[in-house]
Amino acid sequence: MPKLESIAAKASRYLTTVFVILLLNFLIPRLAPGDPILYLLGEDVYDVSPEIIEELRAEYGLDKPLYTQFALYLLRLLNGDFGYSFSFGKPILEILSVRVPLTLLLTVPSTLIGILLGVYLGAIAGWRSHKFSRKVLSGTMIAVYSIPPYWFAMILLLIFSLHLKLFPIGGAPSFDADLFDFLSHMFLPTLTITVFTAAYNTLIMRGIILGVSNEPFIITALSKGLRKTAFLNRHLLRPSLPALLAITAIEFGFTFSGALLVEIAFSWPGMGLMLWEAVLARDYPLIQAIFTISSLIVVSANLLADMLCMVVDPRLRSSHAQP
Amino acid sequence: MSKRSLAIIIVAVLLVVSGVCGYHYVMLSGRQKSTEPTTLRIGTTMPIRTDNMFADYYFGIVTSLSHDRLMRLDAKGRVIPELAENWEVKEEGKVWILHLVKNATWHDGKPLTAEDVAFSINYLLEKVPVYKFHLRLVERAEVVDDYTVKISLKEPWARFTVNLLVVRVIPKHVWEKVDEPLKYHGEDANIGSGPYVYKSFDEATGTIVFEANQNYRLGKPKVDKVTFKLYKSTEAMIMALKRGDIDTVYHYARGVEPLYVPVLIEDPNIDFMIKPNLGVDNNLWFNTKLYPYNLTEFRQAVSYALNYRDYVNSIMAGYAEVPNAGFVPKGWSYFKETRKLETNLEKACAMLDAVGLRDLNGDGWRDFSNGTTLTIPILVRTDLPEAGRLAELVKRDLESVGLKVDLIPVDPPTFRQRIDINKDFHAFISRTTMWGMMMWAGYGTYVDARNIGWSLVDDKEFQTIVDEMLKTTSEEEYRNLAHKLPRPIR
Repeated sequence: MPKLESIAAKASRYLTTVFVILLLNFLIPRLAPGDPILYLLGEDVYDVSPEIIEELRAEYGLDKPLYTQFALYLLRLLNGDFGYSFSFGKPILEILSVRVPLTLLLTVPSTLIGILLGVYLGAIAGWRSHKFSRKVLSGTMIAVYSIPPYWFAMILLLIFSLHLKLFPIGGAPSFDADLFDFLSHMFLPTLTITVFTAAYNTLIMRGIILGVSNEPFIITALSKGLRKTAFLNRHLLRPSLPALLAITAIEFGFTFSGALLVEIAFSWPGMGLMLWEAVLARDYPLIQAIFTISSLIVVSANLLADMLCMVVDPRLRSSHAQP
Repeated sequence: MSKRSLAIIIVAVLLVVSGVCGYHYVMLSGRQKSTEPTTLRIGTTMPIRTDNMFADYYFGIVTSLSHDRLMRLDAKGRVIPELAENWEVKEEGKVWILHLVKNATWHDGKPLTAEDVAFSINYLLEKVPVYKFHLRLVERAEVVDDYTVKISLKEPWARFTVNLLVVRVIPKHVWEKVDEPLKYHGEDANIGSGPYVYKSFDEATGTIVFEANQNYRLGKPKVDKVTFKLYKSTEAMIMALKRGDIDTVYHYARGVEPLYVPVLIEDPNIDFMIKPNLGVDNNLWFNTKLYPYNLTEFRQAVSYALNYRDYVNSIMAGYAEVPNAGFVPKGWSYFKETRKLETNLEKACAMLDAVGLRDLNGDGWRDFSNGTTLTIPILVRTDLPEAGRLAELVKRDLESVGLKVDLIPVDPPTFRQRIDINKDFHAFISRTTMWGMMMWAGYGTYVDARNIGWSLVDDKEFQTIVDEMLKTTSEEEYRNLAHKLPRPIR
């Protein structure tokens, strides 16, 4: 049963990856200079005795050896408990219950639209790329992708919010907002992420199409005189699917971790912003939680993509294609 | 709101808007008709995360609206009564007797008494980390009668009122049941006795709402509702101000960044108040434990190398003036006229030559006597908007006299770790807040190695003056001592 073996091998590889990720998520924040206790004391408090700092460290369990802290962290995680945020003064699950929906609200539609648009435009730009119009399309996408997202967001705000007064300047919609209010808050941040996701995917897809367009089967398909749509779908896009799925999986994995610069520009309290704030506060449990969830989603999405690849690409199902 | 009445506080305003002076910045706005319900909408980039005043430093600052303090600052920076209508100092500053107002009530209608005040001080000291610093000299607070509290200190502390400014007076009937105040989010967690009642914090929209306390002891506030709108970028906040989404902006210990002023000044709907900064926006600090920063001549040479006029124009958009030597800024009553700082490259070079820092190998950089190049690593806070830009100019100026500079950007936690705990820095650029300039020994606090002591000065003459400042209860003597303070370290 090569298929089952293949899945088992992949699963064990992914489990190892998850453990390494958990370990790194635990260690990296603690290796960074800075102390969450100093954050808790606030901006005007500088001269704090080491006794007070130690007392507080003990209160938050930071006085224990690292391996004990790590073991406790794993135990809690197995129970579905991400711990307690120093800087929010709240259980992390409670914080996530607000931030995750806001993040997904912003990133899922924009990523989805961006990928679909990018695949379509990328296919156009990659096929017969020597044409002038395709070169213009590729050049435009490179130019768009080179723009700093924060600057782009500010330009949108300047034009559509400040001068045309069409959209609000900042903040996510309230959970009980009406549909119009909801959409008006979402429009500009969603547009920003969509534009960059589409530009990125266009360039990636263009590269993939360029890679397969000189394959002998493409020339055979062309010589059969297939209609354009049938040719694109069956012969050009299908061989590109494995690579595309891998990239899409990673992108969807990152939808959870938010879009920091766009969230800052639009004052959108998503996961990206929360991670940034958590890092600035050296809020170890919160940093761990965000990284862990993001990593798990990326890993799961990759696992799913691997399996889907085997479905869409018969070559990967053969025993010779074992990892 | 049909007409915006805006108060933009430029550049350096700390006094009227600082967290220690309570709600009075509300008074900056107020051109609305008294018959209409009025809302003051304040934009802020303060990173408020949660509505627990003890867990969230910046939320604690906005609760100046809902929580009266024992005393507060007036517009001139003087400590004046609030809940404590007067006080007595006994045993040369070791015992403080506070006499409370008799008509204060909590937002839930219960009377505020000495029980609450004594409880607040003892509770905060025991359970809230930040107060272990603010109230570290407090031995205990006791109830004398319904409206009198006695606070005993471990040692005399003439400037104890400065620390009492930041004490949140909290209701005993709510908090006595709470063992972990930093984790408490009950509906009664923000009951105060101030002019505004805390209503809500919508994390999604970033909106905090306070409503006027109809039963406030000094009468219902003129503004019916105050909202804080949270922004994550100053640019977006400024756009919101121009569009009229908010009426004014506020950030603890900061005014509006000067570089935004030209954009705002042309808007006819925006009014300005230009106030002196009673902290110091940007300072270059040296670790005086290390050579050559321990040399007065070296530091003076650095001072002559800096192009202050350029900083005023490039960093502060002209809303500043070249400071005087010393570290008491203009605006304080303790300010003493000293020489104006000036740029004199020849003098700077001559002074550096005189202390033995010369270019020995002809590479353009000044070297130690053993031939190794002197490189000054300057830590630059990434959370202060102007610090990065200023650091580049400082680097340019110091390099023009042959001092090699290495700029190291640091985020706030790294900054705190390096400066306050490890003390392993050479130099850094940071600022002082107004309250920081008042606490402990006032201006000496940031310098004296025994307190904040950023420049780690342990000069005996300096510390003797600081000790005398800590003891004196006479304003005149305090002023005289403050005038002497910079002399030993120049």
